[in-house]
Amino acid sequence: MLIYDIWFLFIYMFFLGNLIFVSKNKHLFVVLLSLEFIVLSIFFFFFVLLIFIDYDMYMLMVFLVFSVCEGSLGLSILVSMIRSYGNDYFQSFSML
Amino acid sequence: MCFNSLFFLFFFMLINFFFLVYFIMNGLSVFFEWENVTFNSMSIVMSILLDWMSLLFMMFVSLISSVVIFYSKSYMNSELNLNRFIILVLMFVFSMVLLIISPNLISILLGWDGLGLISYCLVIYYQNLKSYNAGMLTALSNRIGDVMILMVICWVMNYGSWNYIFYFDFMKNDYVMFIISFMIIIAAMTKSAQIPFSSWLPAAMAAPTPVSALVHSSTLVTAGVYLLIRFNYLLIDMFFFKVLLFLSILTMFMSGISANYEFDLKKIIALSTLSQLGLMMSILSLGFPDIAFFHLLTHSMFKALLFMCAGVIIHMMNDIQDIRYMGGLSLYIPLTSLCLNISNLSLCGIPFLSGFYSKDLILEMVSFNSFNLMVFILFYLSTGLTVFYTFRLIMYVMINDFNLMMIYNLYDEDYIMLNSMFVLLFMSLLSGSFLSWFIFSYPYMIYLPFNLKLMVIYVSILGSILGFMVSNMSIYSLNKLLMSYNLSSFLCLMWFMPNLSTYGLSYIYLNFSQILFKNIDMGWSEIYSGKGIFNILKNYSVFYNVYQMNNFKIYLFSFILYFMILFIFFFI
Repeated sequence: MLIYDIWFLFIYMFFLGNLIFVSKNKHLFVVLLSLEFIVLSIFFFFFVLLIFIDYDMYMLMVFLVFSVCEGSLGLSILVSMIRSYGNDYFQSFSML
Repeated sequence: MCFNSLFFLFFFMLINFFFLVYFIMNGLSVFFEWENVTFNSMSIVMSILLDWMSLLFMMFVSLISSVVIFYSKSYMNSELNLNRFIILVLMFVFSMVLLIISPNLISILLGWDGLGLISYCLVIYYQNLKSYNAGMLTALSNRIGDVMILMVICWVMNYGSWNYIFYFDFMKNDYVMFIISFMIIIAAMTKSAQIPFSSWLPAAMAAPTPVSALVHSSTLVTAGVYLLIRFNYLLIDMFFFKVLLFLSILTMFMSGISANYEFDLKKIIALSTLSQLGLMMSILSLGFPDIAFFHLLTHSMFKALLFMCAGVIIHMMNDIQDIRYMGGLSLYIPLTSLCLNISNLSLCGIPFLSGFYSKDLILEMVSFNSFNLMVFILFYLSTGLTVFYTFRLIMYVMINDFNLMMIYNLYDEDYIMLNSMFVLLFMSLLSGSFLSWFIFSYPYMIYLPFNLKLMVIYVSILGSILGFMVSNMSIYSLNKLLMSYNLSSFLCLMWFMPNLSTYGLSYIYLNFSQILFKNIDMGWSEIYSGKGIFNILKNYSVFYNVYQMNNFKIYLFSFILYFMILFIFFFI
């Protein structure tokens, strides 16, 4: 809605990703997807930022590698959870 | 231990006897004094007074205690700690001797307190619930007397020393002496179990039988009478002496009636002791101290003998004390029943046994001097009641049929117990005449009308006929017995005085503490501590649990919330 700059898209994507992350859903997979969405928004913002610094994209590659590792870690946790519990329902965590 | 103490006490008795004869023949009395401290005109001295009264009493006490200790060698031979028992009895005898020889109130207090304490230890000797209750009743009743003597010590300090015998002739109308006489009379009443304090004597029969023979027949309960005999010159004109007369003849009458309803052998003998104590106290309060002393001595002889025979019978009946199970014993235990019969008849006042001399002298003095009609009637009625319960006892124990088992073998060849009973038998036959020739330097001149003289025999015959008739009662003999249930229970339970002394005094406090317990201990203090705090903690932790049992994501949502607040405040 509020699009003055391309910069506001980043804020908007980041914020929405966080919102999905903290929302109460049934599946763990949704949480992982929201983490990927946050990563994507940061990737986009990083890209726009690096254009203003003389097109130097190497840092972006490093970031991409690390984010992919993180995604695969999340997926492996999901797989192990399904293997042990049979589902990925998010019911057993509490404040304590 | 028993043999040693037997010989020691017998030897002590012989020493006393020789000194007694010498002292009476020469009219001598010896006063030893050891001055401890003299502090600002108040002198604390330890004194010993040896005159004929104290020597005579010491002789009788040491004779009875030596015989009783020898008797308890056989009576309590299954007792593991017999030495402890003998030592307690010896300490008792020591306290009694200390009481007898002291003209000084502080050594009287030592002896008096020692008597009370050691009689408590002896009463609770069998450690069961009944002995504990009896011991508590005994100790607390005697404690009142101890308190009274302590206060007398306090008041006598006005006179400068505690040797009371020096002040009698000079201070008779003093206010201090009035207070002292009142307290001394109350102390003697608690020790000798007169009417307000009489509930401990039947209850103290929970003690072993040698203890009853020594303590509750001859020594402890006569300590009060002895104290009043010593204080007699002070107390003769006082008002409270007349109160003591009234209470002691009521004691005599009440215990005579209660003994007729009793079926426990030792309780009957205890109530007869109480009746004779009332007799001693009443003749003392009528103004004849030497007759009271005479009756004290003869009574101690045959009453100790009676208790010892009761001990033999109880052992033989396999520790049963109920006379309804006994009967026909005169056929099987001739020697013991000889002793029992002689002591019972001596108690009744059958002519020329030892009890006759003292009892008949008392009754003739009462008839000779002009006293109250009530005094006269109650004296003769109590004498008749004595014969009544004595003959009832003899009928139940010796003459009616044996009621315990079908097959029985009764024997009394225990010569240790029999020898000790024979010593007392000899003394209870002869001590009446011996003492009457010995201690009265001139005989009492009494002349009475013919029927008044025979009044004793009339009431005795009446009592014996009634005793014979009452012992033949069976369960279906009188159908109307239950109609007098209230009167019977009043007369049987000692006019309800034990209930007054025990339950009546503690009822208010027990009730009050029950109210406190129910309302506070189990009521309000549960809310303000204990259960209430527990409930508070439980409710709060339930609340916290509900508060904290939520999804993890709520916690994470607070981050977003914070971000939104930042965004709103800093970017707009």
